Order: sequence, then C-alpha cells, then structure tokens
Amino acid sequence: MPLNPEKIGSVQAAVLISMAIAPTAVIVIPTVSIGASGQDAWLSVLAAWPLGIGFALLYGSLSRMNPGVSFFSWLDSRLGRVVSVTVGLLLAQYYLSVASVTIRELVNFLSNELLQKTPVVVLSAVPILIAVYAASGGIEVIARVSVLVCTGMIVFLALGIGLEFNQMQPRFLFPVGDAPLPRLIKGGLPSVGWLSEASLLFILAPYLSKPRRSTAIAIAGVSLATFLLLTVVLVVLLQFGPELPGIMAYPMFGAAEIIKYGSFVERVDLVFICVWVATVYVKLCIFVFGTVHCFTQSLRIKAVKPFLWTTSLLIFLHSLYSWSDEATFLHYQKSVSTAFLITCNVIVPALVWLGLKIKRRPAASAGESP
Amino acid sequence: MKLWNALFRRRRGQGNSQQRKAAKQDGRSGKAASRESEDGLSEDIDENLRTIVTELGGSDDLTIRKIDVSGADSIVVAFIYIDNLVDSAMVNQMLLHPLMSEIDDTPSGESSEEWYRRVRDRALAVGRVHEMRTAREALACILEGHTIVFLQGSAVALAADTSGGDRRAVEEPGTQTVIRGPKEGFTESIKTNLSLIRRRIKSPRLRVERKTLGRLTQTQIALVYLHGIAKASIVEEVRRRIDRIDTDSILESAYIEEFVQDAPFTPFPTIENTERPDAAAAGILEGQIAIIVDGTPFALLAPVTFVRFFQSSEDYYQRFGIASFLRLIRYVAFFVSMLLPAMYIAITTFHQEMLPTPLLISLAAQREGVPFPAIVEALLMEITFEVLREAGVRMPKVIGPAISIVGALVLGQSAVQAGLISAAIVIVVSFTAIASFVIPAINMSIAARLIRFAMMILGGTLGLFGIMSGLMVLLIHLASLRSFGVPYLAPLAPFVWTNWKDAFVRMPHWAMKKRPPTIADGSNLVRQSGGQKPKPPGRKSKF
Repeated sequence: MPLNPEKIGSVQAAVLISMAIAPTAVIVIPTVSIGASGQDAWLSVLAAWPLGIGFALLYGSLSRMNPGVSFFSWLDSRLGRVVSVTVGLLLAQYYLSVASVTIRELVNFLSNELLQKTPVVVLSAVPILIAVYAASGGIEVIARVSVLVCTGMIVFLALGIGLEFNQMQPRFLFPVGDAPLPRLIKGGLPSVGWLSEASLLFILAPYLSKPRRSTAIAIAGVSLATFLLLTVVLVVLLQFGPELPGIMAYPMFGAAEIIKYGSFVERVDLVFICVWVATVYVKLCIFVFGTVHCFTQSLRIKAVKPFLWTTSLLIFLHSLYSWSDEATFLHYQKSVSTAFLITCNVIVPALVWLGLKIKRRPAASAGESP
Repeated sequence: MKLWNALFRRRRGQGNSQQRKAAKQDGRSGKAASRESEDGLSEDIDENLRTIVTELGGSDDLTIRKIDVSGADSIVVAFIYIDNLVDSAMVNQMLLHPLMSEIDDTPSGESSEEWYRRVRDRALAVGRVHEMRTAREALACILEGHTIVFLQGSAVALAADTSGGDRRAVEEPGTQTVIRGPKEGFTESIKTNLSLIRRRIKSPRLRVERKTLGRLTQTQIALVYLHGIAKASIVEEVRRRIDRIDTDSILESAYIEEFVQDAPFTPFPTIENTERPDAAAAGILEGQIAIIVDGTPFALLAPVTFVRFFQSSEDYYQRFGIASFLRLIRYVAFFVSMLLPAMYIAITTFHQEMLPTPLLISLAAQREGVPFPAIVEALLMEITFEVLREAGVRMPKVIGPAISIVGALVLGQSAVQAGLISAAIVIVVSFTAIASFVIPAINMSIAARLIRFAMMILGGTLGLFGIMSGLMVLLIHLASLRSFGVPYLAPLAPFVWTNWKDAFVRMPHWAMKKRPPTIADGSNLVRQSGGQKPKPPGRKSKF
C-alpha cells in the first residue's frame, strides 16, 4: 500500500491494535487458559497484561524514533539495507502467516458450526476478497471500519452478558489463587503471545496523526484487548465453571447458545457469531494490509496493486493447504503459534532495538515524506 | 409585425436552402456558427437581423418588429425575440410603448449615438438591460428569453430581460410532502427557485454564481452558498468540477450530479437533491452548496453525508422527541428494506434453529407444497413487486387503482391459494416495500432496493455468513466514500461529536449551538448563542 497522506487518529489506531489481537484470541484463549489454569484463568490473562504493556513500551519507543517515515525506510537509514529488507520480509511472512491462520480459524469454525456443506474454498475465498477490497482502500478505511465493528462488538458483548446474567454462578470462580504458578504461566502464555501482536504499531506509525502518542496508543490497544479477553474468560468461567471450557471447542458461543427467555429469545448465538465474523474480517483486513505494506515498503515497490492480489492469493493458498486437517491446525495453534508470535513480535524488535543501541547514528531527517 | 419573411424573401428566392438546413443542424454547425458570429455587430440594422435569422435557421417562432419612421431624420429600430420565451405583455408595455413615446419626443438632428444613449437610458423600462457587441452574445440572450433592440447606425445592441412565458406556478412539492411546514416547492424556473431561496435567507452573504452549461441546451445553473459559512475549499472544488463539464445538453440536475459526484459506481448517492426551498435553505445555512438548474425543480446540495439522507425537513418543524423517534424508525426501516428478505431466506434455508419452535412449525406448514426454494420464492415476489411498482408509476392515473387490485388480489392472495408461494413471503415482501417508503430520500431508498437483491443472493447461498460478508463489503465501501472530500460516514467514522446532535436523534434547536464542522467552515461554526434553554419566568435553580 502506498503511504497516502490520509492520517488515522489515536483512538482509531488503538482500536486497530486491539482488533488485531482480540477476534481470534477470544476464540482460543478461553479454552487454552481455562484448560491450563482452571478457575484462575482470569488471573493468567490479567498477569499477561503487564507483559503486554512492556511490549507496548518497546513498540512505542521504537515507533517514536521515526515519526512520519515508514519503519523500513527508517531501518534502512539506521541499520542498513540488508537489515531493513531482512526485517521487512520476516515481518511480511509473519503478517501473511497470521492472516492465513485467521482465515483457517474462521473457515474451521464455519464448517463445523454453520455451513457444513459449503466448500472450504468458497468459505476461504469470501474473506480474502473482502480483505483485498478493504486493503485497497487504505489503512484509513480499515481504521474507520474497525472502530464501528469494535463498537458493535462491545455493545453485543454487553448485551450477551446481560442476557446470560441469570445463568452465571460466581461460585465457579472460587477458590481464587488455587492454581499453582506453572499452571498460571501456562494459562497466560497464549495471551502474552497474542498481546505481542501490538507490534502492528510499527506499520501504523507513519499514518498516525499524532505520532508522539505512539506509546499511549499501544498501551490503550493492549489494555482494550486484555479487557475484552478478560471479560470473555470471566463470562465463560461464570457459566461453565473450570472443567467444561477446557474440552469445549468454542466456549464463547456455547455461552451464548444457552440464552433462553420464554419461547421467543433462544438460539441467539448466531447473532453473536455474526458479530464475531465481522471482527475476524477486520483482523484479516489489517493483516492483509500489513503483509503488503511490509513487502512493498521493505523492497521499495511502487506498484502495489499487483502485489496486493498476489500476496492475497498466497494467503488464500497458505490457509487452504498448510494444515492437512483440523488436528494439525490445533496443534499449530497450541504449540507453534505462541513461539512464532513471540519470535516475530518480541525477539525481532528487541534485536532491532539492541542494534540501534550499539550502532548509534544520526536519525533520518524528520521531514522526509513517507 | 413580422418582417423577417419580407427581409429574406430575396434570399429564399435564390434557393439558399442549403444554408438554412445547415443552420438547423446541431453541434457541428453550432460550432461553425459560433465562429462566424464572433464578428462584431454591424451598424446596419438589416445586416444584424439577417445574421441572427440565419443563425437561427429562419425559425418560425422568431419574431421581428421593425419600426421605421421615415422623414428628414429617419429612425429605424428593430426588436427581435422568440415567441413563448418572452412575456409578450412586458414587451408591449415596457419596451414598445415607451420607445414609441421616445420617438415622438426625439428632436430633429439627433445623432445616432445620442439616440442610442436616449433609448438605453430612458426608453427601455425593464430592470436588466445589457449591451451586446457581437451576434453571438445577442443570440445567447435571445435564446434565454431576452428581447434584443437593434438601432440603425449603432454597432451595439441592447438586450432587455423580458423572459417569461408559461411556467408552472409554485406548488406543493410532489416528492417531499410534510404535514407541518412550508408548502412551497421549487419550480422549473431558475429565477423562481433563486427567489424562493433569497426570500428565506435575506443575508448579503448569500452568493449566487450563475453559469451556462450544455453547448446546445445552454442551460442556466446557479451555485448558491453562504460566504464564510460554506468552506471556501469545497466551493472552489464544486466550481472546478462544474467548469470541467463539457456536454451538449443538461436537461436535469441529475446530469450534473453524475458529472461531479465523487464515486461514479456506487449505489449510494453522494449528492443530495431536494424539491423543497426550505430544505435547500437549511442546507445552505449549514454550509452546503446548492446547485439550481433551470428546467427542473430538483436542486442539488453538496457535500452530503450518509446520515443526511435520513433527515426530513419536517424533523425540524415537529417536536424533537417525535422527530428523533421517527428518525430512528427510518434507520430501522432502511435495514429492514435492505435485509429482511435476505434474512428470511437465510433463516428458513440455513438456520431454522434460530426460530422459536411454534413459528418454525407454522412456517414449515405454510411452505409445505410450495415448489420453489425460499430464494426463488423471494426473488419471484420481489421482482413481481418491482414490476408492479414500475407499472404504478408509468400507468395513467385513471387505471392506477386497477394495478393495486391486481397486485394485491391476483398476485398475492391467488398465488398463495394456488400454492405457488407461502403467505409468509407475501408478508415479508410487503413489509419490505412499506419500509422502503419510509426513507425520506428516494435515491437512498433506491440504493437499498438494489442492495436487497445482492443480499438475497448472498443469504440464499451462504446464509447469515453471506449476509454478514455483504454488510462488511457495504461498510468498507461506505467508509471509503467521500462527498467533495467530506467522509461519507461522518459523524460515525470519523467520529465527530458535534454532529451527533443532529445525526441519529434531533436535539432541541437551542441545544444545537454549532454547525456541523465536517461541512461548514471551521472559523464560523457558531449558529446561535448558548444558554437559550427556555425556563418558566421566576423559576430558580434547585441547587
């Protein structure tokens, strides 16, 4: 995507960061965290938050150094072309991979729960086409859509909590602090991995209307995502207790499924599923944009449109053929995903930061146009 | 007295029909004619008349009145105008009669220059008199309904604005009726329409910029805005886009709309149109720019945002509570109009479990025996309804009710009884149709109609997932739209709090202190002073 003159506000950027984390995390975290930490899963998620803030500080400090300039141009000027291209391609691969995982997660869910007979190819093609359309509109369009969808998500989450209130049992949360530390860490690690996706800030930095607020934006995005995760984990725990969610595929929707008021309000889980699908679309739009941005900016490619289509095709094929079945995908999610996220989002930026500390050189001119 | 036949008898006799035919042709000869008429007017009155008549191809509705007072000081004056474009009474009373009096009072030995000045300053009793130096200028004025006065010995003609003729009177607008509020609507006359706006905004800051568009139609248009309230950058952009238009005809404001809109392929309107002078005035007062086009009662307003299409002028004439409630109903109706048939298809085809059991059983019983799947059934009914609606618009009014009877009884009741469709789909399609009429702006209603069909196909193929995907595409599309640079989804995205007071609800007038900053000039946003909330006299604060 070319860096266009359109800017995004601080609230929009914070929402974009939280929408890069929450949509897929709310599906996986309740199962994994409650499975590991039992009724203390919410403590695991809460414990991940300070680490998320730490990531936000790292990303914020790196982003503030290059106001108005793309992350890769800035890296080029500070650490050289080889480093900028290497980091660019690594991050492009990361965004591509997360986009494929997102599609696969959505498709698996749809094929299991909603559209069993619809070919997987169709279910995968629809979201990627939508993401291409959004990404071609630029980050400002995605930011506007993400704010609206996030607002809708919060409204429906509140509505869901209201409707599920009569089924919640606070006794499921007790005793507090029963889980030993290793289980708490195991339960919190996936959340840490997901919160590291706040590294999206590197891509957003040149588009920010107020780049000096980078750190605050990252902290707000991480906090909003943690709040959403915490709410979902608590809702699931309060309804199903510490045992069931660990063996449930989609406990969040299971909670909505049991809503029943009279003979009229029942099986409203589909409404919540629709809202969740919209949030996944937003995440996908962000990551497709991120893939193309990293690829074109690090290699200084001007003609972006062809690469938008080709990388999207790559994402589509990646999501279809990288995991032979659902079990392989689940294994990837549980064993590989967190390590991969932390490598790309924490270790790489930390190395960059270290490199900058070692090799101090004058910064690129602040007035350089993106 | 029509003299042109006599004047050109000789030329016709010579069989110069080829030239006349050429003059009657459109564009090509028009260009040639304009080049020819670039020449200045002659001092010879006959030559000038000949040029004009030739340019107009000897058109029969051209009227020439030549006055020739023979004597020692021969005076020759000629009037030329097009019948029906001028107000004949005005020509007689304001031009002919005073001129005859002036001729009587003319002292002998007066030079042609003195005579010209006398006629210009004293004899033409109309408001707007222009001097014409070329035949091209004179022709343009004649076609606008002016009367041109040629004087022997003067190379300058006078154009008196006598435009008139039969025009529709100011009536109640047909498309935007209100229960409470002004009953005046725009007419096809640009003069009337401008006066209707001027009567509402009596401010010296109201600017009117007139332009002529259409090489053949020479349509008069006017940009109307409030200086200092409309953003100068937007005014300039509107001006630039209008100046860029190069076409031979402008017959309605829709022509201009298609030339100047931001997104040419969107189903959503990015320019508002109104038949109501009060709505146009309200828009101008908020910083919009009105484009009035001669020959149509529909004025354009730009820039515009999505929420504006759900506002009716009556919202501001009724109490704010009911106005807000009705506005929310309109938003609901928009979604119903767009999504209800698609939801029906998706739920009955893919997600039956969403329905309460008694309703599901009832629906299943109704659909038993219906040979078509839900999507075919719904598409058939929707297309039938669209046919009925189109027939209702085109049919002569006398047989209009027959269409309603045929539609309601034959196509509705009989089709259900015959087992072709279920009763539920009749209810769904009827409610959808009624909901589409709730939207105040017909162009937004049309957008919902078009999107409905796409949504039905998505709902029929991918269920609620398809509908959700369609909605996402719509949302992305709406977020990417702009109207003259103003984000279409404002004040939703980007979020602009000031605009929220008049977006989904209508706050009381005293609470809407500022104009919408997305449209109006940022330096002049304050509409009224604060602290105007009414209080009963003598009442003190409880705190």
